[in-house]
Amino acid sequence: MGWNPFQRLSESPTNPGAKKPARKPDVADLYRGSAGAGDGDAVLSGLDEKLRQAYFWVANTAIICPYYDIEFNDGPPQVFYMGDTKSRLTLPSAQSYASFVLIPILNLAVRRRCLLVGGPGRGKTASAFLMGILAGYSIKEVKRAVQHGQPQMTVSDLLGNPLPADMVKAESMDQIRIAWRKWLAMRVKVIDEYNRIPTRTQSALLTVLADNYAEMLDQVYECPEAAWYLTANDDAGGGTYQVIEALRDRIDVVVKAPHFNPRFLKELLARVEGEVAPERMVPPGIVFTEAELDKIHAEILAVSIPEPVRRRLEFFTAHFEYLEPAAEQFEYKTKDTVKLVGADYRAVAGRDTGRDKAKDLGSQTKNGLSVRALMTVFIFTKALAFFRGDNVALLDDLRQILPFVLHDKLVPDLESPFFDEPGNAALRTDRVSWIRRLFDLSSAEYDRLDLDANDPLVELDAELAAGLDGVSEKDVRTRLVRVERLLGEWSKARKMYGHLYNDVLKLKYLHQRYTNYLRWLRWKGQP
Amino acid sequence: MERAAVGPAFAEALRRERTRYNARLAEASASGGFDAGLFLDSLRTHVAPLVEAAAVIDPACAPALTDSLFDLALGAARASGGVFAPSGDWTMLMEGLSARVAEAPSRVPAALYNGLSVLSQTPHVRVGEWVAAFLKVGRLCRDASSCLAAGQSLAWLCGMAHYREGALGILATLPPQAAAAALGLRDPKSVTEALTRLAADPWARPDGGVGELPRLMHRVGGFRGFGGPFLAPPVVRNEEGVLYASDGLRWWRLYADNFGAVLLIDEGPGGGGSKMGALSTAYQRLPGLADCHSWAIAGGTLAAATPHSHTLSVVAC
Repeated sequence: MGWNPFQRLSESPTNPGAKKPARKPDVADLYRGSAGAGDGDAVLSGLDEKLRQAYFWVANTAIICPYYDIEFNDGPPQVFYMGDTKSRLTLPSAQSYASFVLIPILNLAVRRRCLLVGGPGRGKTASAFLMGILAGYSIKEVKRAVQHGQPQMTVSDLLGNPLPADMVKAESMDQIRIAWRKWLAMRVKVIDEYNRIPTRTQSALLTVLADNYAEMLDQVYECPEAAWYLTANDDAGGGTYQVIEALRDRIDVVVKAPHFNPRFLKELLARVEGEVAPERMVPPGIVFTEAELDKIHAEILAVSIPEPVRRRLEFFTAHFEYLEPAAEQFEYKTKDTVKLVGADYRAVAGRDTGRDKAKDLGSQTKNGLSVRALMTVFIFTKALAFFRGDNVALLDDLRQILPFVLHDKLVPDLESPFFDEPGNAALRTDRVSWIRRLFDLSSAEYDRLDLDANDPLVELDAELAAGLDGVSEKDVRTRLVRVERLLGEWSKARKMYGHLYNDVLKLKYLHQRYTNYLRWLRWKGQP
Repeated sequence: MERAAVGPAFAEALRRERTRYNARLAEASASGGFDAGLFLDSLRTHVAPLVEAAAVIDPACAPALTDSLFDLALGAARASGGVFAPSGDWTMLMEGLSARVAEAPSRVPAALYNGLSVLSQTPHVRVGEWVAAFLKVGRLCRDASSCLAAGQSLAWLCGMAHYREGALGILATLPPQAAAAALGLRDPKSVTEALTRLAADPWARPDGGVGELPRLMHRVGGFRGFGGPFLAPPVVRNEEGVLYASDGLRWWRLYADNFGAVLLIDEGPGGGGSKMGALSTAYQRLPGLADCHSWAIAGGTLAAATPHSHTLSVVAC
């Protein structure tokens, strides 16, 4: 606490005109106003505004991050083309955000695992540190929360030690008490330079990160739900030690620390001269209590994702797993089949003919998306909508958050002809833009196929979802015929792309459900 | 003018954080239009006595209370050239509830300040009644949380009709003596029955008394130019048991019960009807309703408007 300019918060709404859900009047509103937080216990809604306040303080005051790479528009943006390569610069027409600040704040709200990558000295650890302060911890406590990766780090360094006296006296393992490290109990956990942790210790970390408990000598310590921040100098999984795949896979979202724009050196100089340490002057008004973070989490989960948005995500996801030459059994025709047997992906993919590889979105990736990744997409999409003050997620929320969630999850096939097309070379290195482009292309294809109006599976799905109680044998046979007829049509006319592959599997599923029901009806002797 | 003396607790709290407070004063002065001298005078006059009063109860609360009041005063003073001049009501509450202030120095002062601000900006709310009741009921609460909660329930009882649901819930959790005092009941044992009665009927009284029906209870609204919400004489609608009013440009939802009536901006009804025909004579006899042009009834409440007035009549029926 100290120099007031760093503690000033915006008094005006941080997102004027944000679509607010209709709120019932709340008696807690009595104590909300210009004077501090009033009755803190009662302030449990309007927390999206507080989250935005936190964002703007961090972006404008603490970290100096004057970038707006998460762009929203409420009208056509202005676009300029700079340089001889005509690099596109967009001036967004609606409130836009810096990913390096926004993603960690969203991660704090949803208690997931955020990897901050970037060169040394770019504010990765500082950003993670601030998240701990925003969560209500003191500087001393946050320092305790930060685990510094180094090549000699042992499991005991990470988790704790058995009490020496117990080791001597104990006659069985369960008599040995463990002095667990205090950071395990914290709701914000920071692993600095996680790619410098030895492999064996990474495995111990994985248990805590993935399953929220620590285990040593048959003793188990259950950790509370926490927001995790891991830092690394690169996102390729390399470092002093190769990051084990299971650990990398548990990372939910990846964000890059941007470069420092020298046009803001004046602000940096003021900081040096004033000995300003942002973590020491976080305004109390943006520090969240545990109850507030719990409430935010609950409100985020309550944000709805409308069906049209979900359908586009379904369509997008469906492109990537299918690999026709991978197997004989229809269900196994996936990239995962190739990976599991350790075959050469390029060799197998090379046998895949008949499709326009430049246009086939699936040909751009070496893998598909896991259930875990999709669930994370949902959570962060809702979080972004909540942050913007909405209780319904828009397509734009999904589009903006996808690249950060799928950053390490969707592996590009850099030899895909797509990347050789004019203007696409930069997408080999710009993972965020590549994933965004993938989604845009997918959405364009979705519109071209007019799937909002012409998706035969929607009606079939709804029919099954209505339940089978009381459905007669005659009706079931009609439905079976419909499924078979559709498959027949598709088998004649269409090349098999990823989304079609998944639709076909869905039809098989429907067919099987009805077949089983028919058998049951006959067994029961029902007409 | 003679300067008010600064007591030892406040002086010590200022001394401990002198550098930080001076830095904040310097920053406020640098932004222009802020007289630090006037601000310090305000602190002496309005803040120092409160800190001393609380310090008598708990000396340990002085630093936190000074911090909280410094923030509050500085925030308010920025908009008025450095002068912090809180309302007499706030000072009275701070003095009367000093035990609660000492217990929660970061919460209570700001809550009281914001509460008074909210109440004074809501038309037809009886702020003076709230302050008097709060002083009486607050002292019967065992801690700051229940004291502030009592304040919320009293806000409803003093006219914030939209707080009804939350306030009824709060009253059920207060110490029986405090709840009885809030409801104006002599016997704390009658609180539960009273709350049941109030929950069932918006026009019920805590003591169970029954008034004549129909009965004109409130007039709300008013011309925008005179501080009211409506630009034109409103019309009313009932949709699914909720009463709405509109001046043709915007909609408001009406919350009304025995203790007050409030109009809050709303998206408005989707459909629903307003009765454009004549009111029954029983209602027309009530003052101002003879030439009613728009009325609706929901849940025992009649809202009626006339073509010559920007106010709504709210009738218990």
